[in-house]
Amino acid sequence: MPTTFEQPDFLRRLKDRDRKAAEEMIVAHTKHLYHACLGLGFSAPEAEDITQSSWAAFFDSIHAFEGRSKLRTFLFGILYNKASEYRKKGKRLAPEPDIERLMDRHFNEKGMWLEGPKDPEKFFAAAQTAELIFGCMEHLPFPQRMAFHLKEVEGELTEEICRVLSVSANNLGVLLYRARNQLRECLQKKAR
Amino acid sequence: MLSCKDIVRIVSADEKISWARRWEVRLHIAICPHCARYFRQLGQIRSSWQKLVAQRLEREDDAVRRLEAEAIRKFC
Repeated sequence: MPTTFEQPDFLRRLKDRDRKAAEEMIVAHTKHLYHACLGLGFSAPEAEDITQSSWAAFFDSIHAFEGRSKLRTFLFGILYNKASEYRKKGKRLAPEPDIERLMDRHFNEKGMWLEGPKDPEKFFAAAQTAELIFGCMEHLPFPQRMAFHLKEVEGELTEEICRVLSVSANNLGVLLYRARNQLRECLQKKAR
Repeated sequence: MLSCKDIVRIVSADEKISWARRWEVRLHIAICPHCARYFRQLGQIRSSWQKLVAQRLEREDDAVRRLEAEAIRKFC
């Protein structure tokens, strides 16, 4: 993304309701918003709805934005809230369990695998199959999906994702760990 | 020395680690078949998901145009 969006001048123009600035903002980001909604598993009509209401909320609240985070982070934070409202759940994050505890069932006390990943060819085939991977993604709780999408598809920085989801870096690590491992285990099951 | 469990935690929770540590992780993955397979699987999930979402978006190109036009009409 060109850095111009992050310059104070651009933000001032947006706040002043400069039409050109608003248009540039929309053209540069609509695709990413829509993309994220699809990545979160929403249907096309739902994704359109959420994208539109995110823009409405963005232009409603831009006057109050102080520029402490990136504009893009601010926008994705709005999207996350809109999408959570849509799902009517997961808006407030329940505390994530401790990562060590989650891992215990896979490893012995020396930290060695109890049973390593199996059937690499079958796994690879399962991971490439749209219905299987979309199906597995459906089972993930919303914050995990958002964390996974922002990290793996949007390539966002850790600090920015933490701001979007309002979680600590530690908590984000747990979200990513859980998202990746639930996907992996789900695909492994379907690979058999 | 890092255990398999450490490796899995570091790579799947995106833990921030030093360069020396990163070297140790790479070395472990190079010699441990379980962790190598695990690491490869995470990569397969990532690239497959990226590809599938991009494909879906391509089919929805018109929708993106329509959304842009609508947002511009409403908010500019």
